[in-house]
Amino acid sequence: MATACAGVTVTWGGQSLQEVVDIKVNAGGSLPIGRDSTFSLDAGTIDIACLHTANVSLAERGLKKTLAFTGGGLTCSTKAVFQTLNMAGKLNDVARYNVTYRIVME
Amino acid sequence: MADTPHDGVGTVLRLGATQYTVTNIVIQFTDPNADAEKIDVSHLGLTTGASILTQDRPLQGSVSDTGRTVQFDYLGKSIIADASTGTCSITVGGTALTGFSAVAFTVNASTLTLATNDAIRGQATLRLARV
Repeated sequence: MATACAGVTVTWGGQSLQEVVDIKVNAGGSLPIGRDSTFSLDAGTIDIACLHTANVSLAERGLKKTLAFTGGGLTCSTKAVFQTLNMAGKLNDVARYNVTYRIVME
Repeated sequence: MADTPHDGVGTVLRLGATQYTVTNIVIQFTDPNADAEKIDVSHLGLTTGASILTQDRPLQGSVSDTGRTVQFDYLGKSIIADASTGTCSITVGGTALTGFSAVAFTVNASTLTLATNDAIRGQATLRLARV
């Protein structure tokens, strides 16, 4: 039976992203460099959209913290670097925030 | 023949004192405050079984948008002037349709069609006052 995507919490470095409405995890990224190494330049990205606050500031851009998901069949955590923050305001609507993290393989 | 009290026979539409020979009437009521008009602010943090969260839009509908319109087709040679105002009454079998006794209106749109081998036909859309 399918898992309902509800009751989800998302934190980055212990700070909650609030009123999250969309999560897209694209893990894997590019292939490892070298035959005997798991190192790759790109380990994938995680995009999160929320209505209230992404709870990050641009001063934290490039910082690596633990991005953790709980509930709704999404329970997992990974180290991730905060990369981009997008804010969108639209007439007669609420503000929307999109934040992108880059997965770090350690 | 059995009565069909829900049919439209005997329906009369008047704009002020003028009675129109109508062939079709469509009445539409839309609640401008209905949930469908609000912003859905539900999020993944809500648990299964929780109610959908909505929030009022920051801007209100224009004062003139009452959400109530009447569109009707008629036979006749005169076009109804756009933006004209007055009162609208609809009766069915001599009885006023509920809520349609001398309701203030403004004409939103009006057309008159003259075609070969046909009667002259008009169509008008009225915006009704919310009473």
